[in-house]
Amino acid sequence: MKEQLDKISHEALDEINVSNESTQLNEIRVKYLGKKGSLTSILRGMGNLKPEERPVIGELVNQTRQRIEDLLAERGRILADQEQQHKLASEELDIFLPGRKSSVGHGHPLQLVLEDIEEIFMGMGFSIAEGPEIETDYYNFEALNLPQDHPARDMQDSLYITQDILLRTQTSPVQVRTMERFCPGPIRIIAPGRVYRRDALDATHSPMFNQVEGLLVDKGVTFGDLKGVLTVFAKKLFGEERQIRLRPSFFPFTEPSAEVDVSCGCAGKGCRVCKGTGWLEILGSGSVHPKVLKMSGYDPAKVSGFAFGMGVERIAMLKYGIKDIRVFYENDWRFLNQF
Amino acid sequence: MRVSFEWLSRLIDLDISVKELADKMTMSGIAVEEIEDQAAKYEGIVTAKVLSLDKHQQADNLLIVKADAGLWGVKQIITAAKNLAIGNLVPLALSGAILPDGKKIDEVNFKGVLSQGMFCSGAELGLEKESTGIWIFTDHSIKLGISVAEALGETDQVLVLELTANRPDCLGMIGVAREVAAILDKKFMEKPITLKEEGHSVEQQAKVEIVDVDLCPRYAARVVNGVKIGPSPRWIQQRLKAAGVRPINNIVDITNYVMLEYNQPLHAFDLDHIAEHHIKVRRAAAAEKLVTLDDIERELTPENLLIADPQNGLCVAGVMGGCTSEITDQTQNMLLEAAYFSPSSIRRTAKQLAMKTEAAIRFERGIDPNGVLKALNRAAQLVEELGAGKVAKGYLDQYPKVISPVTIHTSASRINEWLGTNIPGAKIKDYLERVTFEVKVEAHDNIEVTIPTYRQDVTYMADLAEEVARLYGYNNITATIPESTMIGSLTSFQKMQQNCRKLLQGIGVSEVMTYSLYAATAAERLGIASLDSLANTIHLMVPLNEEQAVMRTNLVHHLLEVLAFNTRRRQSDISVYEIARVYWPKSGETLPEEPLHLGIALMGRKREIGWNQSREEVDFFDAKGIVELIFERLRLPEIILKPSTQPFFHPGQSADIYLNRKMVGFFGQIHPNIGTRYELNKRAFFIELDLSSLDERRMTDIIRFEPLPKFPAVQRDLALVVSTEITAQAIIAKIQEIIGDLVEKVDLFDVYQGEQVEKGRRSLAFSITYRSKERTLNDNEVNELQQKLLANLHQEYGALVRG
Repeated sequence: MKEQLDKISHEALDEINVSNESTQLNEIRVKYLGKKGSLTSILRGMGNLKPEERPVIGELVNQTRQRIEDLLAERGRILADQEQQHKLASEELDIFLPGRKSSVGHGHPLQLVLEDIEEIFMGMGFSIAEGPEIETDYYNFEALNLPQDHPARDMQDSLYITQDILLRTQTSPVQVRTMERFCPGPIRIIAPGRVYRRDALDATHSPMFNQVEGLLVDKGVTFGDLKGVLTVFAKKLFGEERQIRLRPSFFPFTEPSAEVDVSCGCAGKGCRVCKGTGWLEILGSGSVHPKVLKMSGYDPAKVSGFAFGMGVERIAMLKYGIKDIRVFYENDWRFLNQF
Repeated sequence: MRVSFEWLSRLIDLDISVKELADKMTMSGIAVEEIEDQAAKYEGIVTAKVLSLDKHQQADNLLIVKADAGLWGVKQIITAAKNLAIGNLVPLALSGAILPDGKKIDEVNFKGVLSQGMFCSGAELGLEKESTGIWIFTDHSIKLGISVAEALGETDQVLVLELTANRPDCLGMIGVAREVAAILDKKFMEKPITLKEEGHSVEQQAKVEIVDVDLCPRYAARVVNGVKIGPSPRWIQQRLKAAGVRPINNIVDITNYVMLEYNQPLHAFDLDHIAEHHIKVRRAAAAEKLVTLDDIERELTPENLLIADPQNGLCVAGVMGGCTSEITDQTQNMLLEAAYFSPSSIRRTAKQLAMKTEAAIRFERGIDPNGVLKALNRAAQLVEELGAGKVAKGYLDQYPKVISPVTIHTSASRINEWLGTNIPGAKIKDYLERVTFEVKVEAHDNIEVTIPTYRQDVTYMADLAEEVARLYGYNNITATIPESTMIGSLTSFQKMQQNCRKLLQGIGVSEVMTYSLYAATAAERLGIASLDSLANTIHLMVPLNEEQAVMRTNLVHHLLEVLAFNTRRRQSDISVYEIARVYWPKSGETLPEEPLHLGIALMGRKREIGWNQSREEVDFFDAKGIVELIFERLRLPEIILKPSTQPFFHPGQSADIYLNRKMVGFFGQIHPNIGTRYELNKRAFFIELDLSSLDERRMTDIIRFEPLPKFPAVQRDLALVVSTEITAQAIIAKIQEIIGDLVEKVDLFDVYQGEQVEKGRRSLAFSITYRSKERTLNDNEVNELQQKLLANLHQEYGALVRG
C-alpha cells in the first residue's frame, strides 16, 4: 500500500513538473485526486484493510493528497506567472506612437486677454458693466463733454445709423450710463465691449475693435489713485518688474488726462516692439471731468473719480507678439489652436 | 504741426539738444511724434568740383567727367548733362546713395566705361519742380566733399508734433515757444513789431462791414499798395519747407509764414477786384455759387460764411479763397485780411465742402481773437521789409463783441485735493505763471487766475490742475490705492456666459470673433426672405464698404464664413463658437435690441486626424447633443423642438428650439445648397441660441444635492413599434407620466426602421429604470407596471411590443 502511494506520488510529481499549461494541471488533479482518481481508488480500497491499519494508511493517503495539492498549487503559480509574462509580452505597444487626445477647444486670444483684465480689476473691487453698442449721440459724445462741432470729434470718425444714433466709438458711454444709474453712490466698474470707427482695415486698424473702459467714482478720489490702480493693473498683466509712466494728454471727458505707458519687456534696452523707446503705450486715462460728473448728476465739489480706457487688441498684440490686427477676425484654425 | 528747430531756437534761447527737448515736450503734454532730420534725405550726396570733361568714345551724347569730391577722392562719372563746365561745383550722389525720390545710385558700366555715381539736378534733390540740367552751386566758398545738406543749408531738424485738440495755440511757432519756455522754465518775450506806413490811409481805400457778427466776431484788414510779386527770400522758403508748406511767391509766403508764426490764418485779396473796395462778411445765400482757388465751383448754403463785396462772394471765410480776387502777377493793390471766425461755423463749412485747409484747421480749433492785429501787423511788417509793397496808413478793425479772458476762482488746496498732491501754493502760482496765466492770490490760499484768450481750453479748476500737474511732472505724483469696501463679482448672466465657454471648450469647440457688420446681401445669401425678421437689419447711413453695411441679425453668416475661410486653407475639420450680440430694430424705441447670441458651427471630423483616431464626422445628433448639454448645464427647463423652416437648414435635419413657448434658437444641418454657396466641401451643422432669452427663462443657479438611492433599481427594456410620426420624446414623456415617481429614467437605446417593421412605423427601444425611494421593488410589481405601460401606450399611440 505504502509503495503504491509512493509510486502515485512520484508519478504525479513527474507529471506536474513537465506540465506547462494550467489546463494540464487540472487534468493531473482529476487523474490523481478526482472522483475516479488513483488516490481516491486507494481510499475506496481501504475497506479491505485491517481496522488497525486504516488510520495509518488514511494518514498516509492524506499526506500524499496534500503533497500533490501543494505541488499542483506551486506549479500553478509558476505557470500562471509564466502565462502572465507571455500575455504581457504579447501586449507590448510602441509607446512612442502618439496618444489619443480628446478634442479640446481654445479660447479666443481677445477673450483670454479680456478675462485677465477682468480678473485683475475684480480683485480690486470692480464689477463688469455693459451698455449698448448702438448708442445715442448724447451718450457717446455730448454727455462726455464732446458737444456738436467740437474739434475732438475728429479723433473718432464715426459710423452713423441716423443723425442721432451711431455705433459707439468708445466704451465711455457706459461710464455715463453707469453714473446715471448709481448716482450719488460710489462706482467701481470696468466696461468691456465692441467699439466702431470709420477706419479702413489694415495691419493696425480695424473698423471694429474691443475696448475696456474703467470708472471709479467716490469721495476724495485723486489723480494719484488713478496712478496707483493702473500701476497694480500693469504689473499684474505684464509682470511685477514692469513700471508705468504717465504722459499728459487730452480727452474731453477727463481732466487732467494722461496716456499711460508700460515699460517694455526689453527693460529699456530698446527693441522693435517699443521702437527703441523702452515704453509701450497701453491706455488713456484721467480724472473724470467735473462737467461730466455734473451732467451725470454728481456734485464735483463732493465726489471725484477717474476713468481709463484701453484697446484689447493692442494689449493682446503686445502680449502674444501679434503684428497684424486682422488675424483676430480671420479665425484661422491654426491661429485659434495656439491659445 | 511741424516745428523747425532752427526757427524755434531763434525765438527762444535753447541750450539743450533736439532729442532732450522732444522728450521734455512729450512728457509735459506736447507729444513729439518724430524728429525729422532734413539732412537725412541728402545722405550720400556730396559736393564735387568738375575737373575734366571728355566725350565718350562709344556714345556721342555722353560725357566722361572727372570730379574731385574732397575726402571721397576723384570720381569718374558718366553724364548726359549739357550744362557742365570745368570748375563747376555740383552735387554728386555717390554709389550707395538714395535720392530724395527713392532712386538708388550704383556704380554702372556705360559701354565699357565705369560711372562711380551721379550728378544731381535740382529736381532730383527736391529743390525745384523741373530742372534743365545739373544743379550748380554759385557759392564758391563751399568745401569739396561735404554733405549737400550742409552746402544747401538744409541741416534743420523738424519736431513733428502730434497735437491734441485742446492745444491749438501750438499750431503757431509763438505758441510753441511759449510752451517750451514754460516747460524749460525760461522767459519768452515776443519781439515788438515795428512798421513803416506810407501813402493814403486805409479808410480812403477800403471799407469792412460785418453782417453776421455771430459767425465773425472780428474782422481786421490792412491795405498794401504798389505790390511787387516775386519769390520770397531763402530763409522764409526754408522755414516754410521745414513746416511742410510749399513756397509760392512773396505775398502767399508771407501770409503762410505769419500763419505758422502767430497761428493766425491771413488772406490776401486783390483790392482792385473787390467791388467798391467794400468787404461784406455775410452768410452765403441758399445755393450761392463760388469758384474756389482750386478751380472747383462750390455750392454754398446759409450755414457758410462768405467774404463778399457788394456784388459777389469772394472767399469762403476761413476755408479757401475764390478765384476772382486772387493775387496774381498783375496785382497792384492788396487787401490783407486777419479775422476771427466762429470755430463751429468753420468746422461745419470745412466738413461740408470737404476742405480741411491749414486755415480751416486753425479756425475751427480756435485761434486767439485778441491776437488778430498782431498777426496782421507782422504780415505788413514783412511786406514792407521784403519790399513786396507799401503798407498804407492805419488798419480797419471791426470787433463788435470783444472776447475777454476768462477768470477762474479756486484755491491751491482744491488743486492739491484733485491731484492728490501737496504742492505749496507759491509753487502752484509759479507753474500757472509759467504758462502765462495771471495769478492773483486772495485770502487763505484762494487764487484768481486769468487765462489769456489763446488758451481757450482752460475754463475749469481741473484744467488748472492739469497745467500744474504737467509742469510738476505726472511722474512725480505719488501713486496711491483708493480704499473701498466694494466687491467685484460677475452677474449671473456673465457667469452663464462663462459656463457656456467652459462647456464648449471642454468638448472641443474653439472660440472665434467676427465682425458685427455684414453686407446687406447676407440675408439673401442665406436664402432668407426679405420679409423675414432676420432680414430686417439696421443700416449704416454711410457704410465704410459694402461688406460692412448693416448690423447683423444672426451669427449664421459670419460663422459659415469662418468655415469657408478655413476650407480655403484646406482645413475642413472645424468646430467653432462665438458669443456676441446681434442687432434687431425695435419699433417704438430709440435704440435697437442687442440680444447676446451663442452661435456654433461644426464641420468635418469630430477628432483630429490621427493614426488611432475615429474618422467619424459630425452629424445632426452631435449638434443636438451639444444643444442638450448646454440646456442641462445651464439648468434650463425642458425644451420643445419643432421642425425648423429656416431656409438655410436642411429641411429634414433641423429644428427650432422653444422654451416656454418662446423660440430661443435653432440648429441643424446647413442646407447643401447654402453649403455650396459658401464653398464648403463637407456637411456643416449650425446652432444658434439667444442667450439673453435663455437668461430670462433660467430657473436658478442654485444646485440642490439629491441623496443617492438606498434601494436597488430594476431595469427593463421595452421595444415598441409605433408610427414614425410619434416622437421618442413624446413616448418618454408619456412613460414618465404613467409610472410617476417609480420611474427613475428612460433612455432610448435603439431606433429601427426597415424591412422587419411595416412601412410607416418604426421600432423604438427604451431602457426603463424603475426605482422606489422607500423600498426594494419586486419583479411582480415591475411586471405589472410594464403591462400598464404597454396598455396605455397602445391605447395612446397604437404602440405594439416588437415581436
